[in-house]
Amino acid sequence: MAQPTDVETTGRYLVLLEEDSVAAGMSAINRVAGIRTVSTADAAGASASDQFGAANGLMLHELGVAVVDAGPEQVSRLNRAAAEPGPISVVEPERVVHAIAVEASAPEAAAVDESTFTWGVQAVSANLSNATGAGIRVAVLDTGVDKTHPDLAGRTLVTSSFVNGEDVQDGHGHGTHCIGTSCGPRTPQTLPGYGIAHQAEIYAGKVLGNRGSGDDGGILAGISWAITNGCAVVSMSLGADVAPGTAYSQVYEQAAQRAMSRGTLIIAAAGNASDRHNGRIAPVGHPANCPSVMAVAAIDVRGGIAPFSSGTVDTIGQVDLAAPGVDVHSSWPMPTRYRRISGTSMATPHVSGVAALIAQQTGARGWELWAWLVQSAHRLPLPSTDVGAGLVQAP
Amino acid sequence: MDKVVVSVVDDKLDVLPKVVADLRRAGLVVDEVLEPLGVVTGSIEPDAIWSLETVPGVSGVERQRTVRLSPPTSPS
Repeated sequence: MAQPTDVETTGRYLVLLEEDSVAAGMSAINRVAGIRTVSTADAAGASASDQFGAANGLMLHELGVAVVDAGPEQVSRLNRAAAEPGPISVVEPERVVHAIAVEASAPEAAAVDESTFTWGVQAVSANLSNATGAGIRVAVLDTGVDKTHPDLAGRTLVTSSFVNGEDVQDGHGHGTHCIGTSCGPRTPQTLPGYGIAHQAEIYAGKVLGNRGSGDDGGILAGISWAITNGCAVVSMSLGADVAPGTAYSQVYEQAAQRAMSRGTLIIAAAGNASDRHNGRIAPVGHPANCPSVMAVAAIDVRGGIAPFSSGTVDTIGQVDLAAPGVDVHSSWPMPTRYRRISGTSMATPHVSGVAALIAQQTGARGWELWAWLVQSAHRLPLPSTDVGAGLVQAP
Repeated sequence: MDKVVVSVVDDKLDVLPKVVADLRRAGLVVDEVLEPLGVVTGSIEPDAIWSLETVPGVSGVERQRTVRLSPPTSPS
């Protein structure tokens, strides 16, 4: 359990369980260390922090990971159990994770004047383009949207939820942020302007629950909905990390090809699984690793690759384009109104917005739209394995 | 029951209802038939998944993955 000494930890521990061993793992943790865990699978609606207070461990059911409060003696017991055969696989101190935005952007604050437009709008030259996205339908498949956000007032906003038991109202914030970047306003009452395709028709499909996760069935249903509604662009700031060498999904690939043949281009986040400060580049995640899904990496305000941005590490998934994804200002559910966050999730809607602008100006759809996006991107002095064809550019 | 997604080959898309009926007979509890994609979603007993692959017109069967927002996108 060697850990670098400079890593900030919370005093809690993560217990990773073997595949499909959640129930056995919960009882093993109790038996070995006397720690009672409650499972996220049993408490729909309650937030993770609410649940943690009720016991001394929280089982993240979908991850097969328990977060536990453990003293030194309990930790050594858990470590002994991890070394032996059984449901407990790995024990690690829980790390404190900081928003990349805070670390990466503070010294750069003056590098770009954001008084009128965000750095992202300027980096993709959207502020210099006459195109607005008018008449183009953009589907954003995410955690939904805050329909009451004043910056979306008066816009065409069509919504549908593909999450059981949750309406489209965004209880998370991520979806509202992504919609803001791809389709939000250029001249909101409170500057800076942050939306790329600021007159596009917004189709907000909720495929991730308010806790930020969903399954393939809901996502494919969302893509199908977008095609049926004639959306030229589907923006998906979501993904599942994969191990190097993992085959891409044949089902998604075929679905993406069919979407293309119907004039719908799917754009997805490459993933945030890299740790480039420590020399680790993770492969493009699912479903961005499908050949017919456009995979988007994140760059920062200096044009450098974001440390978390997943990259091309094998011949299966490859990065196609890059876009601003560090310290991105956009809309957030009221009353917060705005937030700055980072991720390939934030880069993706920059590309989706530009795709809508190009679709409006050229009439291109599907593979032709893909070609326009790639051909017009600004090349960057970075490996194509990290940024593909480069920084996406508005027409 | 495991949740699965099933894709259908191009030349069976015009007889999709027939393929869906065969999938049901093979044990699939159908959630949705996504006609624009030629994809059927549903759930099935784990030990019957293989039988879906033998249904004429099926090009792929995959267990559904959980897809999520990953750090650093997640708000604190």
